[in-house]
Amino acid sequence: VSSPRPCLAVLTLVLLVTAAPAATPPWARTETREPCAQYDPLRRPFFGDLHVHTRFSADAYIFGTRVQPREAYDFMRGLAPVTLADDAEEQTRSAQIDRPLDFGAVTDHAEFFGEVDLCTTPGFVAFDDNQCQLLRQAEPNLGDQFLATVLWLFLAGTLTPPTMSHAICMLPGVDCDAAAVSVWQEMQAAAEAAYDRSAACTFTSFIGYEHTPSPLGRHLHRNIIFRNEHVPATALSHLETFPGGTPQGLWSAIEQQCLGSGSGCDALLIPHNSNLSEGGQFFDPADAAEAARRQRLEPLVEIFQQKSGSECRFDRLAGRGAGTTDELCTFEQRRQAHQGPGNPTPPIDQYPGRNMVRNVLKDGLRFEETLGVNPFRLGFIGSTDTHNATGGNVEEAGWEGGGGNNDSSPARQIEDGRNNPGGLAVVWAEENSRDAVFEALHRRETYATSGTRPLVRFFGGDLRDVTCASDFVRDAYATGAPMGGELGPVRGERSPRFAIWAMKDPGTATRPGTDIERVQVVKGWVDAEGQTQERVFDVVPPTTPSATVDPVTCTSSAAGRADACTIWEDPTFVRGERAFYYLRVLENPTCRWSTLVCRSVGVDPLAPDCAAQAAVADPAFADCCLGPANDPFMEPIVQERAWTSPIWYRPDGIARLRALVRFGTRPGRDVVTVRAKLGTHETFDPAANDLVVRIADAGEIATVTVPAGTLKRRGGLLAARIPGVGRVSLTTRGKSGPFLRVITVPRDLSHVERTDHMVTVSIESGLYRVQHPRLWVADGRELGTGRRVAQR
Amino acid sequence: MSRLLRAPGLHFLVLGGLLFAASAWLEARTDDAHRAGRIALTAGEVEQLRRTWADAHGALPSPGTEAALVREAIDEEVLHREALARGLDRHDPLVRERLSRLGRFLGLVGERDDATGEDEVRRLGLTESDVVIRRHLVQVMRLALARLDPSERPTEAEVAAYYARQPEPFAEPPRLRLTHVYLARDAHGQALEDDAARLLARLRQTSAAPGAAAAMGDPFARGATTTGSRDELDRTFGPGFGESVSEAPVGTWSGPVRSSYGLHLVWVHERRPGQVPPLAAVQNQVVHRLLHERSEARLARALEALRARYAITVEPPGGAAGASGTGG
Repeated sequence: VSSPRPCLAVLTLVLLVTAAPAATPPWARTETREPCAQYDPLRRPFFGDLHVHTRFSADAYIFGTRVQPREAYDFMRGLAPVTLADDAEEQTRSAQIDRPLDFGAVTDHAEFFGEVDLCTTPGFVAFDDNQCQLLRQAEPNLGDQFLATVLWLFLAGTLTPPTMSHAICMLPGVDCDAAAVSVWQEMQAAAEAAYDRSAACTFTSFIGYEHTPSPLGRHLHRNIIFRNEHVPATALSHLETFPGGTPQGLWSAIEQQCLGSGSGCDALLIPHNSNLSEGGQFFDPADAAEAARRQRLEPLVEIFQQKSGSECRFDRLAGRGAGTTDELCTFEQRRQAHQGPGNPTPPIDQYPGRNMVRNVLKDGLRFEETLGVNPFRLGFIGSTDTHNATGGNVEEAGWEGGGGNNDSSPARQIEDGRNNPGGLAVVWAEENSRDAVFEALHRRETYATSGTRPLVRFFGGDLRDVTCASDFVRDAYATGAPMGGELGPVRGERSPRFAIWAMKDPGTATRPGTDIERVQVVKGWVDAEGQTQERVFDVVPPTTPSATVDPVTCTSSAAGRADACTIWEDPTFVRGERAFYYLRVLENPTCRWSTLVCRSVGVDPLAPDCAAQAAVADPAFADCCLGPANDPFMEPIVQERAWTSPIWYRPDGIARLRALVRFGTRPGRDVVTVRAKLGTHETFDPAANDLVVRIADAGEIATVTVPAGTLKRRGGLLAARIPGVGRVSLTTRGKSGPFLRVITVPRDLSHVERTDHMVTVSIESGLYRVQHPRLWVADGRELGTGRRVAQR
Repeated sequence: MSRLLRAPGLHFLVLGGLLFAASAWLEARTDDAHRAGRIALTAGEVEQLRRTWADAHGALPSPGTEAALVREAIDEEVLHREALARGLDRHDPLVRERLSRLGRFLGLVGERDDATGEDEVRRLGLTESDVVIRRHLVQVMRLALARLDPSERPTEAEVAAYYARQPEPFAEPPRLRLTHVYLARDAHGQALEDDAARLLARLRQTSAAPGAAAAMGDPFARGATTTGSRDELDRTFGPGFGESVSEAPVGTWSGPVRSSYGLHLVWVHERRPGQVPPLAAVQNQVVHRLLHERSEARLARALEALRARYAITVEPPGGAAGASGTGG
């Protein structure tokens, strides 16, 4: 037998020469495409917009938007301008972005897809029907337009929508279902055409749509984002899923037609505008099963968009907030709590708490205490919700509006002045492909911005070797969880460490990025009495003197920070208290878009005589003068910001975990060992439930299942031998959590790559589920966690 | 049943079978005298095309666009007639399903008797006038005509020649690989320029190796070594950075270069000129593009041949019939 050495040498040489992306991604590739030339196992930020409406949305069409999905994708890619309606719905305006997005999705309202198509295609029987003319006609008068919109959309806004759709669908020869399918297919084709499947990976499109229940004006809206081209044959709207409940009918539809279809379909649902849901978007879960279902299907929430922010709310004039004392929560708020009839502007004390996501997250912890499952394990993204098909058009300066002829001129923009250009979704992914970006969304390694592009890293964990110098990112992935992840009591009674790095938006030639003013950790927790609490820490405090805006030039008066790194520990940490932590990165103050628009018509919101200027200019500009003195929320100067997905601390999470693949000297002699110390164990009961330990990268490395009750007492521990799989043992001492050991029988793991890469260990038993993704380090015959990360 | 028929997966299966059928028809039916005829686009129809386009684009079409719209409308008519002449509507399950639905809508038949309903609807001429059927038949014809013969699959030599002729779509922009020593604006404040100059002098004096030198500066969250085109570097470091380093010498320390974060002393490892990757790296994409071009060309040829069988007239706006001759 000849020595294998020459072969290895040649192989090494090949790897060095081609410098190909060698590492196994921690997810499965589900589509046929060129691998991306640029692949970074430690992940890069990609910027996107997952909420864009085109002419296929009935409301957008009524507002005068005529842009097709294909053109909307070209717009997001920065390739071409789109035309926009003016006040009279003439297509005389246009917009284009100079900073292309990396990914995006056109998400038209599935309600009335088919009707819009039938009504806008000459030759169809319905074309000349009154209902269709109502859709097509221009409404220069916004009152008429409102009526047309109501007439078109009311079916989605009733408490119990009829199973039939619009009357035109009952005309002989009119087939709204078939038309809806052809719209859905065109949306798929447009996404496919925009998707860069070459190795350059310049743009990733996602097929998606919006599901839009609005009972009496309460927004219970969600975007459905599909992983790849395998999507259901129809985009089921609220009218079709309503009988199954809202949103349970939609969940069932996605489970049956996508996740469980066996076609390779995968999807996630992203709720948005909880600020207009009157608390209805995030209602109490009926039971643990429903909580688990929501957690599985809805990993994210769109926390910021054109129709305002949903993080938290503080009424400046009242001096109180909705469950908060955080004064920075005045940012981008609407007055209403929903968009229905009645009195939708409740005083702050009566404002529905769960309209705001911070409160939702706090309540999620409480449900986890009682049910064993957190229904609201929500990561964050921002997007636009543009109805102008202008995805990524988020610059404050020169914003063209986002609602067709509702905000097509300065006067109309100011009348709609609580809107804003919307935000962005940022993901940390290995490459710009559908699989990579979808997986990042799915594991919540995301952050939202209010439109700018700061860079934010956030890790929590033991992080024992992590410093701001050296290999911050690599070391952090090896010994901590990134944003969106979870922690157990990793340092016992002491606080976990949090590694934080924020860099300012690098800006563009025409618009330099704004410095960062401060970085905050927002913590929410359940205290010993079972009450929810929150606290905001300035972990990178403002520079002194803190910056203000020059009232003449709208530029910052002082420098903030370009680049801020810190390692933080929570001074209020209590081991037994369930908590979440997320970052809020605030930029230096800048002029809001409305301030720039008002100034362009001679009304200066920052001038003492603003009201007099407005009276001279036009009564339409009276709202230019809303500000801190006379309005609970409006501010002519804002601090743009980013919010990372939270990291959740669970007292019952993994406290310590060592896992290792030891490659044998002969084929088929590879062994996996896992040793895990869990936290408290109230919900962990392998006597009553199967215990499943799974170790996986892109594929499975090992799965060990211990059937319920098979662990037998042997001396001081519970143990089981699973024939052909391995041995499992469990030790519990006193109050501290169980210690779990797993050793597999020798097996063939030659498919497992022997280079550093991400591996996830998950432990499940009944409702108890924990995940532990880490960068595993290769060292000779071993690949595993817990060793000091080698310096590169 | 109808839901099943609408499943896209099934469509492809059905369509695939249909394409074979259609190609067979194409070969078999050379006698096409009976298909020849006249196609006349009235001024009203042209105006309708203009208005539909204007509705979508907010302005009337340019003369060039209008000509393209007219041509498209004629192509659609030709394809539709061709599909009917070949009896595609009698074989296509989607068309048949649609016809029986129409039959039910029109009350021509009860819920169950699909076949009778279909015939009734055919007698009413809906295969000719129904927009859904028309769209679908035109689409099927397009696919059938564009379908390449297996013999048209390009050989390796053809792929290579094609790639040599037009490599531009696959070209990579020029890229730099560099290591930088970062001096953070925040950390150095007023002394930033001086500190950078001093450190640069030291790096040059000691001929510091790039790998070790990065630690002499401040840590940079996106790493000390990076590869990027001018645009990619700008997106990471801020506007102008890519331009500033584009002329930096290779294998020595240069700078300082200003970014949005501070100053950087730069060591360029290599400058990869904009290049066309070897064919092997982009083989699939090239073949895909070539096949697409060939099937488009095939479709164009087939359409031209079909158009030649008709006397085509387009009435200019305002009335008097202007002939555009035969053959489109």
